[in-house]
Amino acid sequence: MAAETLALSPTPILSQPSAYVQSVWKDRPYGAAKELSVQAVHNGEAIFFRLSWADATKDDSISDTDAFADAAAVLFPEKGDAPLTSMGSPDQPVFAWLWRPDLEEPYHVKAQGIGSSQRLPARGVTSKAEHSAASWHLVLSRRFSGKGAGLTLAPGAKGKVAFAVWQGSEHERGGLKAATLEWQQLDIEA
Amino acid sequence: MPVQPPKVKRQLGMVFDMNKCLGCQTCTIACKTLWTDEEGMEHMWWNVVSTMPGQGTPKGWQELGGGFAEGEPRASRIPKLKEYGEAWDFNYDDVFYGGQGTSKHLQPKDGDPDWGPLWDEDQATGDYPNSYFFYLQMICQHCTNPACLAACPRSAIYKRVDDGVVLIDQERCNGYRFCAEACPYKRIYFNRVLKRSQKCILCYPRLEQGVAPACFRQCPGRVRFIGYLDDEESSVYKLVKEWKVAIRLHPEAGTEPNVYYVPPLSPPLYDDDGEIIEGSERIPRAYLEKLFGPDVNRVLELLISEIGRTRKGEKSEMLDTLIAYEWKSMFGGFTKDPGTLNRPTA
Repeated sequence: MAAETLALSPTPILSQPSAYVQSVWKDRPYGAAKELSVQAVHNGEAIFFRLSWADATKDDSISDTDAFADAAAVLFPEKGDAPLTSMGSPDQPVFAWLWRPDLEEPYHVKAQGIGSSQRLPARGVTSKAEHSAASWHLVLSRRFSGKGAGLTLAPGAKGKVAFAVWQGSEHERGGLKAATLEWQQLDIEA
Repeated sequence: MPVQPPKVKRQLGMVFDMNKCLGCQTCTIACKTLWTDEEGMEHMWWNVVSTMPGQGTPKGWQELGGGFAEGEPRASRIPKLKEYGEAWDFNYDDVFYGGQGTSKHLQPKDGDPDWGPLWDEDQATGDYPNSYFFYLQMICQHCTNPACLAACPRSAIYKRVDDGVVLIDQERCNGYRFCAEACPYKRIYFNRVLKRSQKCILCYPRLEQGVAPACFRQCPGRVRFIGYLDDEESSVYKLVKEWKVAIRLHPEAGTEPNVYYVPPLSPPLYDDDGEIIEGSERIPRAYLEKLFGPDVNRVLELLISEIGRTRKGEKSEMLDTLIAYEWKSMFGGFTKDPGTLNRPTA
């Protein structure tokens, strides 16, 4: 599948669930990544997402008490059109694969509204990443047979997907990120 | 919109009498050995006693902002590991086991440090014989309106309803450190091994068994009082609510701390002939006002007048309470022997 370039935007300041963040970060830039190149393929057994984005600084560890690691996430609604900017709702959970270069394996995250996200035990999501030419190149994959805590990915399935990127050097963490502000269509070929 | 403080049924109050502190750091070590002796916690001093005027811990924390201004969060930043003070790795192998004991001296492996924990300890301000310093005892202030709590996007920080102790839920914490950024007292530390924020827990497992927190119970100077602020029998109630002789540190930060301080009295100044200047004070009031606000003047006058009364042979219940002839009077009922504690065995 050809790479698709998606525009990223800073998540809205008013959707940040913290008085401190809303007040202090309203005049401070965040969401530095402007676009993300995405490819998705499957081989009948597993699905692979290849994400590439420009990031001049490689923050692959938490090198100081005030330092943050780079990160990226792929987000899926459990079904249908879960609200995206609020990270799902009590009735409409969303699931994310959260990759960070300082972690041994990606987190599997479930959220049912802003500030509600829970890190679940690893669910067979694997990652491989490389930082070269001032960019991150990341492949996230999961076997179709893997049970993803309410998330079903299988050949022939149609669904939605969204993406987010954090730049550690800009102190981006939590809700301070660059994201696709709308769901993208994900059609998995049969 | 101004931040609304969380509601509690009761609130514990703490009083530190700065005039009795010896600067021995027994409190600091009591805390360190009990709570922060694991990997990732090397730079953590949930309790620390800083020499003032000085940079404090972490370095320069008073200039970093945080807290609230007219109810709105005030910007700040997270201190760096160096500002907290690193636990240096020493060249023990070379000196003690490498046969170089006469040619190499013991020193940190990463070269000559220019800052560390308590780097400016006992360093006085002013010129001899009019130099001065005093000790500032710091723990989490267990604020009524905690800036850390308002800053956390995950509601991982909460105030216990029954005693007002502020805790970070280690299961919910994702290590974003907005709390460490927002705390105006800079009492929150980041554990880089667990990737979570951690801080003073007021020894709540001890409190739940009627035992005073370790830094209170271990203090040889009887500096530290604890009790419920609505318990009229407690020393804390009398000192804070009745006599109002203990006041908040940096009240302008707007978080309404529940640690209260009896501010430091001064020795007098000497003139050029070495004679005492009657009525003079070595610690400038302007400096104490910077720490405690203008109300510090009222408290100091009150203490001076009570001392004057006792010198005339009168009794002062206030000074007797501060002296704490009976240690149990300091702990608002939290007087059980630590030896009675149920301790987890693992």
